[in-house]
Amino acid sequence: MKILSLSIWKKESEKAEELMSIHEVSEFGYFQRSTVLEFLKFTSSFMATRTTPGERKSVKEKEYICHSLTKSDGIGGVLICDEEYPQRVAFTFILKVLDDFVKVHPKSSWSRAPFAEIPEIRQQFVLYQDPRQADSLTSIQGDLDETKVILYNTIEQVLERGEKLDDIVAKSENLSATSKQFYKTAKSTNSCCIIL
Amino acid sequence: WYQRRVRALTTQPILDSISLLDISEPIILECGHLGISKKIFKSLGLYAHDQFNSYSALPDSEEKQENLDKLSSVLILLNPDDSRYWCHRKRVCRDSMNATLLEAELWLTSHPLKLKPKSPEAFSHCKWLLRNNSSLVTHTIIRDQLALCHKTAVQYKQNYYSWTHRIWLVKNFRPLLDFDRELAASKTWIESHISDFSGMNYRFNLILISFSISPDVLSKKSMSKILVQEIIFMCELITFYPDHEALWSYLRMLFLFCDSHKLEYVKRCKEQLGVIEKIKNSYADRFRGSLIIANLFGISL
Repeated sequence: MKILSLSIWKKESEKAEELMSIHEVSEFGYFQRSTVLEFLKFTSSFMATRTTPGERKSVKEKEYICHSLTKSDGIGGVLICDEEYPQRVAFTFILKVLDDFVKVHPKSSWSRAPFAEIPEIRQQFVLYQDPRQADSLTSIQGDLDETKVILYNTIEQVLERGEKLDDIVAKSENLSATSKQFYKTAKSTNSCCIIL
Repeated sequence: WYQRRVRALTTQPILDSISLLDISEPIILECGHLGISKKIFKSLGLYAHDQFNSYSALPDSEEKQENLDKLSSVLILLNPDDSRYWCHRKRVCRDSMNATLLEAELWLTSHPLKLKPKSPEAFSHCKWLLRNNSSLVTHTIIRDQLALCHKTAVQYKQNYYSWTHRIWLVKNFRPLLDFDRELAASKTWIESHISDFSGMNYRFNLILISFSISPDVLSKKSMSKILVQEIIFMCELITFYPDHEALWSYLRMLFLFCDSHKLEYVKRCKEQLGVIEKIKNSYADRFRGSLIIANLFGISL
C-alpha cells in the first residue's frame, strides 16, 4: 500500500504547469529510481493536462493507479499509488493538499512556480501512506463525496483521437534519452511497466 | 577479463542490492548496489559453467577445490535455479563447518535472493545449512534470516517462499527470536499489505504456535478470545477495504478454524457479533460465499 507521487498543477486553458511535487521511489531498485522518477513526472503532467476543471479521473496501468483531479478555480492535483490504495481516500487527500497549498502559496504568487516541498504537505504525504489511520484522524468519512470519477483501464484510453502515446513520449521534455529508450525496450518486450 | 569479473563478484563486501540492467559497462557498483549488464550476464554464466566443468574433470587437488568453491559461489548467483551448484556448495560445507563459515555461507546464499527474491533453491539451502548445523545457530543468524525474509517479501509481492521460510524459522528456532515482536510485526505488515495472503497465513501460523507455547494447554476460552480479536481486526480492515479478496479469505480461514475446533465461546461473543452483522449487511454477496459463517452464528441469510 503506497503513494508514490503527489503533484500540484496550475491549470490554465489546456496547459498544466507544475506548482509542487513530492515523490517516493525508495521501493524501486537503486538504478531504476531516476527513470521511475521521470516517468512519475511524465505521467503526472500527462494526466494533469488531460483533466479539465471539475473532472476527476482514475487510470489503472498494471499494478499502479493514477488519480487526477482539477478544481474549477484553476488548480489540480495528481496522485500516483498502487492498486491497494483506496480511491476515496486518494481524492480526499488531493483535495486536502490543494487547500493546504493555496494557504501557503496563494494564486497571486504562482508566477514563481515551481515551489519547493512544503514541510506540512510532506508530513501529510507520510501520514497518508496509511490511509486507515489518516482517514480516522482527519475524520472526513462523514463527507460522502458523490462526485463521479471517470475510470480508465489503461493510460492509452486517456488519449484523444489520433494521439499516439509513442509520439507523446518521444516529444516529452520530462523524459531523458535513457528513459525514452527504456520505454521503447520495455514496450517491445511487453515487460512490466514503470508507471506507464 | 572474465576471470577478473568472476573474482570481483566473489570479493564484494556488503551489497544492498543486485540488479540486471541495460547498460554498456559489464558491471557497476554504486553505494553498495551492484548492477550487472543484462547482455553479459548470460555469457558470464555460460563461461563460469564451462570453467566449472573443466575443473571438475581435473584430478583432485587443493587448487581444484579452491577454484570450484569460487566458481560455485558465483554460479548460484548467475544461475540460481540450477541445483548442481547448490549441491556442490553443500558438499563444500559438509566437509568443513564452523560458526564463521556458517555465517559466510548464509551471507553468500543471500546474494541470489537479492537478484531473485523468490528463489526456492536459495531458501532451501538456508534451511539445509541451519538444520544441519543447529548447534552453531545464534540469535544474530536468526535475526539476519528474519531480515532476509522481510526484504524478500518487500521486493516480491506475495512471496510464498519467503513467508514459508519465515514460518520454518519460527517453528524451529523459536528460543532464538522475539516471538512477540514477530506477532506485532505481522499485524503491521497485514495492515499495509492487504493483498498478501501469504503474510496473513504467516500470522495465522504464529497464532497457532502461540496456542501451543503455554505450559498448561490454553483453555478453549482463551483461544477463543484471541481468535475473536483477530476476527474483529479482519472485519475492521474489510470495512475499510471491502474489495480485497485476501482479507475475506483470511476471515473465512479464522471462522473455519473456530468451527472445526468447536469453539462455542466465539458464538457467544457479543462484541464481535455487531461487527459481523455490519459486514453481512453491507457485503451480503461476498459474505454469503461461506455457509460456515452463517451456520456458526445461526444467522439465516
